[in-house]
Amino acid sequence: MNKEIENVTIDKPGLSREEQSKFVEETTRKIKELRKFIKDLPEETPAQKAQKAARLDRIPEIRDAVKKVAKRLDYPIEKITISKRKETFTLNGRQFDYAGAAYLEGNRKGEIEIYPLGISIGTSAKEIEGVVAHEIQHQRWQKVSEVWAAENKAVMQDPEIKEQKWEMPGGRKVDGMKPDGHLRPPLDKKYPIYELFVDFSVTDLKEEDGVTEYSRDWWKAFEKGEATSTQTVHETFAEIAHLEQKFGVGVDKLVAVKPQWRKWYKRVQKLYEAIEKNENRERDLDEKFMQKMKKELPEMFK
Amino acid sequence: MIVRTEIDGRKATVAYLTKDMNPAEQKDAELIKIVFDDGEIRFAVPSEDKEEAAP
Repeated sequence: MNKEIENVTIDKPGLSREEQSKFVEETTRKIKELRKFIKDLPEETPAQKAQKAARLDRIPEIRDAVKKVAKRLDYPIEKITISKRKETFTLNGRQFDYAGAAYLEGNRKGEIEIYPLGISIGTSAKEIEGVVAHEIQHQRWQKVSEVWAAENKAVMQDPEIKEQKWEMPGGRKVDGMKPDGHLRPPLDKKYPIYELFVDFSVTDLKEEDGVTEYSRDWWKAFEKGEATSTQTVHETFAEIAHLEQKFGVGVDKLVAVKPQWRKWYKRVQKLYEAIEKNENRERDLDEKFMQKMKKELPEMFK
Repeated sequence: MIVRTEIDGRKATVAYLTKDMNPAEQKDAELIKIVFDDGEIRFAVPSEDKEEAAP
């Protein structure tokens, strides 16, 4: 590796000879510092090595747990990675290891990562399954909420909704949205996702107070202004999926989940499945189109 | 216990939990859930190299 570093040609176009030499000097200094840092890193003790090996030995078991849950929740397995990296951070003077991550935004959006080196030896496969279900549900709800938000935006921007062309008994003409927020026919059919969620009320859901101690804690934090409603709803849906996985039953059989949450959770799951089916169909169509093009293009350009 | 904080310069909401995912005080937490404002969600556990390394 040292040889590789030494053999690198430093070429920074646009620099004067003096700037070039300063750049080389600075880079060499940084390389020396890096070498010293690597040399001074404490070696792993035999006990730490054994612990690391024991955690890595659990990868097949963790992979099985991931596969099982992804299959049940119909989540693409390729979006879940098991990473051998160890990532640590310090919070209030205490060191923590990351055990899992779900990316809801950014270039890794939709992905989930599990870190076996951050999972304690005492954690059972069942507990891992629960956490995976929780993380997958975050992704499912994220997708549904984005589709819902997009349809809300479309409704608000649709000029037809503002037109006073719906005639009420007595001849008065009104616009396309009823006072309760629902759309008048045929607009209700044009925006089915908007219609499906029009009664979704954070106030009602807060009344039903979450489904586990964990999600209740989020609602308390929401009341105190320490968490947003988006985060709190996210965590509650994720907890329902966690409970389903933990007890091996559907939401209808979970007594801890009150009617409002049960209703919305079922709608979220159904809508997610419909979105996925639609996306898969579009992907299939794209693929068929590409295959057709691959076949026809060479002929066309002969 | 849920608090707003910053981790490696990123703003986040952190929930302190027991191993069974019940709310816990900061000092007793066996598991933490971090919801970063940039859309990343993470689980973390206290580094326990010393404990597990003990004979």
